[in-house]
Amino acid sequence: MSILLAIEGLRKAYLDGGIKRWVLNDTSLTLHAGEVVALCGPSGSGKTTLMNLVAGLLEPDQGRIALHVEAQQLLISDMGVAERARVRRRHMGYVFQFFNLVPTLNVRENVLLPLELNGRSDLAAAALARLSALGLNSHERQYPEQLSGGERQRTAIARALAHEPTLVLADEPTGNLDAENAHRVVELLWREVRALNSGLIIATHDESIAARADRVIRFSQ
Amino acid sequence: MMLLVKSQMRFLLRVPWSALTALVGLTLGVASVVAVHQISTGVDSSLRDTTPPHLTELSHLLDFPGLDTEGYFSLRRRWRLGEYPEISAIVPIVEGQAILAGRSVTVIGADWLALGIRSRGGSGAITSEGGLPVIDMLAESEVLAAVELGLAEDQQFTVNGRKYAVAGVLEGNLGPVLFADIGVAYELLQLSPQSLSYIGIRIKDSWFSWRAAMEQLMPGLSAGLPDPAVPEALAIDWAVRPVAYDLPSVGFARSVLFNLGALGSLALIVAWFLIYQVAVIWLRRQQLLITRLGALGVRPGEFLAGFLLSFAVFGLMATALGIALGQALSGVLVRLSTAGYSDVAGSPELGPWIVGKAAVSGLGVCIVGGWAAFSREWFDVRLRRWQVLLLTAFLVALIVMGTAIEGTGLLGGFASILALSLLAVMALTFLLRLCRPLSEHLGGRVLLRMGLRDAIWYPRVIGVALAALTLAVATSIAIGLMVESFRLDFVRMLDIRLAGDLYLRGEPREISQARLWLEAQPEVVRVTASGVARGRAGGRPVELSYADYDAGQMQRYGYDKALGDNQTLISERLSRQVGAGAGDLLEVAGGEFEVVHVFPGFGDPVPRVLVSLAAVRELGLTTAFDRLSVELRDGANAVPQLGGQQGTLLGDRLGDRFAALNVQRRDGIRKLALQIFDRTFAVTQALTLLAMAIAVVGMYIALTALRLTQGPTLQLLSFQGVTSRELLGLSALRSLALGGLALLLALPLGIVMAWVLCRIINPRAFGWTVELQFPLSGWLPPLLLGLSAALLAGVLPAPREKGDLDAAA
Ligand SMILES: Nc1ncnc2c1ncn2[C@@H]1O[C@H](COP(=O)(O)OP(=O)(O)OP(=O)(O)O)[C@@H](O)[C@H]1O
Ligand SMILES: [Mg+2]
Repeated sequence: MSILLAIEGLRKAYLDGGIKRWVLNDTSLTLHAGEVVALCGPSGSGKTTLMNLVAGLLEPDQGRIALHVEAQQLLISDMGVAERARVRRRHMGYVFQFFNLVPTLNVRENVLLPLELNGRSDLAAAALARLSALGLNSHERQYPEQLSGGERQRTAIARALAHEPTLVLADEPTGNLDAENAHRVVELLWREVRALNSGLIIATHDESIAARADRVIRFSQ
Repeated sequence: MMLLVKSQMRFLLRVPWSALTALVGLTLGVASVVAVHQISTGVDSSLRDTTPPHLTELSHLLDFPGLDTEGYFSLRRRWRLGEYPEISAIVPIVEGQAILAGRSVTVIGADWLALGIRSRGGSGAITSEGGLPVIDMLAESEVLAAVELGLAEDQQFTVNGRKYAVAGVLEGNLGPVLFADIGVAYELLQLSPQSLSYIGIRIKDSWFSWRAAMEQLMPGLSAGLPDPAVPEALAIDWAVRPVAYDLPSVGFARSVLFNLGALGSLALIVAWFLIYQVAVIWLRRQQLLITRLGALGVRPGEFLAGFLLSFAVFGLMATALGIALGQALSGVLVRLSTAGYSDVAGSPELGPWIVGKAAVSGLGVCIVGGWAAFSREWFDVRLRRWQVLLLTAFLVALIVMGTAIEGTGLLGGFASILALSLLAVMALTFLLRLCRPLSEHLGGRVLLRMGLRDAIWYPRVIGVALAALTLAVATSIAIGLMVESFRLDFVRMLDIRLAGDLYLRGEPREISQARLWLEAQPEVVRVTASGVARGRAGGRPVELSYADYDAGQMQRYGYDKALGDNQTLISERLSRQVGAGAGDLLEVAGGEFEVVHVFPGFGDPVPRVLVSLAAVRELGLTTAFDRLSVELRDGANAVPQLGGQQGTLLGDRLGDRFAALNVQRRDGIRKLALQIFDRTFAVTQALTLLAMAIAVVGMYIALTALRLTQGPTLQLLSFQGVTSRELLGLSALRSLALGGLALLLALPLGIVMAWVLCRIINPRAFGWTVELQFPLSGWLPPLLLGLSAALLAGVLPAPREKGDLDAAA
């Protein structure tokens, strides 16, 4: 299996009343294609911070983050803001706990959003097929406010995978759902990520979800 | 209850930025009202000086053909017997022309004691309630002279071989007038003591005092109201006219004041929209708090009281600031344009009226705006379909009545503009709702689509601010179009009317000498002499211009034949006042004339009549030419040329020879006229800009609120790899779309408003119709200004406020 993401010696601190407080201290992680890694740990232990660093929304104080795409190595930790945005746009998808969808776009438009941003209309048919597979074809014309929580998360999954990204980041995607819906959503996420042979990093407090990951990384305070 | 107020006050402190910007907007609104009031009271007090002393205490003037003292005595007898209980005073008045030092002056004689001018003590000093200067009781052969006559106090002069003394000089623009006791006036005018010009009466009814009170509230308001009704019992035997007819320039100035007042209120209306919008936004931000308080059993009324109390504090702050700013602003505006009232004080002291008016404005806007927003947000009060239809029908009826019925006056005109605006606001809400389903079918790039959709997706957060922007831009367009159209008309009139290259004014004797000299000069093509007398036409006081009006002269007034001896040209103002047009017969200075043409008399506060020289002599009026217009070969010599020999130019030679004459070149007159014109409208345009500024503040607050509610979406998009530059573009696009929507509505609204201004309000206020034209300079600047303002409001940074974090908690 080829390496998809390589994180080495990552350090990140926040200024807290003038004092540096280290949230991540020498974190390393390797992710292979088709692999699912779960991040577990108490609240405030740095799971979201790690995801944001990988996504390029934050800059690390130290360390290396490299994304491998088609035999090419993209050194996210060395890039400028605009270039990181470009990498995110092309190669990453994400699912959040809430506020995943643009309220003024309907389900179909939300899903096609990454394709339009990337100019990849060739993937539209596949993306819409995935939307159907997620059981949302009757909701295509609806707006986020008209969907249930589970439907919103499934739409978010369809959107995260629409442009067939190399890496999918999911930050507590089921935190807002009941157990039954949570398992359904995770199941679908798994299936679609594997079908694309992408990598998935999922942060969760739910041990039963973590247990189903290929690997679990535990964070401590 | 105290806790609720406290919570509201704390909320204000937690949203310091939007509170501050809203305060700025409201302060501007109050300042506009204060400034307009200050200017108006200044103009008003100088107008009071312009009112001739014999009219200050009167409400109506009566006469009938062939009136003499017998008519006066019989009226007085019947009045004493209690026949006309509404009359509180009756005064006989004579009026005529006399020649003083070769100059025609108006002499007005009245029975001063009958005017109710109270005698004070034994010294004989008298004063009146109307603010007349304190003068001694006029003795035999004493007169009061208007300052324009150039006579000094105690100066002696001779008329018809009799000596008279000036007992006092009256300031103000009264014209060349002498006031005397009625007996002295008979002598001055060489009239028989049986003759009488008209009778003045004072009618005190509730309507009259109500008008006076309203005038205090808004100077110039009475110009907007129909003329007071004539007592019916009198109207049978007498031709009754309100005193206002004899004060045309006062009426003119009051119309200006009324227009200013209306524009000053525009800023306040826009400020109301702003406050309403802010209240809606703040209530939305506190939605969570409100639901939790509701769950705790707090009743809506209790929350409303707390909410309104905090708004009242806000309104009081705006009042205090607005008074201070308004004082400064009125000074600036007066300097910007003295509009012909050079003696207007910049900032008169604060009276109870102005403080009260500012407080009512500031507090009223806050309380009413807050209350309206609350009932809409909490109770979801919405107009039903039939209510909307009823309101629309009512507004349409208002517009039709206000524009079609002349009797509704200026108030009717402005009421229809207000109704138009309200209709436009309703149309905007409708448009926003209509656009939502349409926007779902928008094509194009996704960010573009989002920007456009955002613009109409949140009508509650943005709709009212948008309406305010629409109103401000529309008014600005209307005023711009009106002023530009007016200016085009005015320039055209100047170019036609100013046919001469040189204009001379002066004493009749010197004028006639200058005329002889000029006619002998080789470069002179033609010299036309003319004079002006004061008289009445159709009962209205007019300026009677006379000259040798041949076909060439008449062309300048838009009539292509020479003026016949029993024909007359009248200005549009007079035509409207007496209801006479071309083909009608009109009584002018006691003779009967056929009106052959009506000409626009822009800028003439007094209605004008042109009659031939022969006709004036026939009427028995004394004629004295006091002005010349001179046409030169090629016109070139009138203007000094660079490097030219100054001494050889006709204008200069003329000035050397006749030093006492006032010589003006055409270019000079033209320039001055345009300068006065532009200054007259400077205040108007400044006020519309002020309203626009308030609207922009409102847009800024609304767009900021919109952006803050979209925080999660922006985060989402940036996760999606949308760069911050693209996000800024999205914001800009959204505001442009909103601005565009506002302007889409503002342009037609502005044009209709401009039409009402040109065709309805202008003729009613000033007596002339302006041809509505659409020069680029009239409508494009307001449009561009509105659009860039909306754009700016959308991309200006806004700090995050704690109040929003509360909402997310
Ligand atoms: N922008 C920031 N500035 C300062 N401190 C921050 C910032 N963002 C996060 N932190 C701090 O960093 C620590 C890690 O936060 P992070 O959001 O990564 O935790 P988490 O593991 O995702 O927690 P949770 O399970 O609650 O989502 C926390 O203590 C948090 O207070
Ligand atoms: Mg987290």
